[in-house]
Amino acid sequence: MGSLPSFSDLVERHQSMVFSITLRALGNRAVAEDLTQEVFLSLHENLAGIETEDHARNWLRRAAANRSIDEIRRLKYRRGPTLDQVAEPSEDARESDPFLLSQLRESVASLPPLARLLTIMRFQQEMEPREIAAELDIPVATVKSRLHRTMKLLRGKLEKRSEVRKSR
Amino acid sequence: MDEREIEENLRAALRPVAAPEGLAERIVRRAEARAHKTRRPIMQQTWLRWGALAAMLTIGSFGWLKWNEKRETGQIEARRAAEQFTLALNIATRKISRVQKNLVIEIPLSRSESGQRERP
Repeated sequence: MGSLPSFSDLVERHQSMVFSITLRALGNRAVAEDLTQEVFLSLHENLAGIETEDHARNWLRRAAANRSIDEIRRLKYRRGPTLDQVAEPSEDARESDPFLLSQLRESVASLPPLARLLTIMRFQQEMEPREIAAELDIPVATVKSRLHRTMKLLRGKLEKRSEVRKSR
Repeated sequence: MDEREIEENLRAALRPVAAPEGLAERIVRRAEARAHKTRRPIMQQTWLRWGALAAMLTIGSFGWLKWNEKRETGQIEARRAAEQFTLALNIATRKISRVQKNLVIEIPLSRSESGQRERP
């Protein structure tokens, strides 16, 4: 991971990461694909300033997160993805309750842009709050408090829905 | 549902997905096309920048040489004109002093001549 691989190798290795962030943030495959392309084209333009593959990966993750936030705000994706727009991984049915997972996706999609991206970076990219803070250039306390609020909100939503489900 | 359970389910719900088929090729193709299209601006090309600098230095030094030459010619002409003026002044001064001398010599003579005539 010391030296920088060629641009096509970088695309090959990190396309899924960028696509996953943009897809979960925007909830639309076509928009996510366009944004993924834009992120990589931007990397290509800034390749002279990239030193290692780790640097490239961090750069891509930050660019994907920031561009997703911008795109959410631009397109006013307040509600985020609808379930039929996002292809569900086939393992859903095997590992967890597919209904619960779709509920969670829907709830994440309804979060404000920054909270949505923080959740994706924490639970999809498995990043620590301080890593997220460094990457998005925001205070660690902000990341922690937003994540805490998000978890509280998601739990509340899930409980509400399960109550509704039970009452039916 | 406790927090740990929610976190695990969140991980499952937000699990990374595979990129669409052919996305990498499309990206590389677009990047290459864009690189061909957006050539570096003319002044960003290193050899052109150095060439422009060398040309500017040549023109600058040539201009300075011409200006210096003109200044020196002007100075020589001015010095010559000053010398000529000094020479002309010297000649004029000499002539004036000669005339003055003649006048000094002539005036007393004429006075003595007239005195002799007045006396009986």
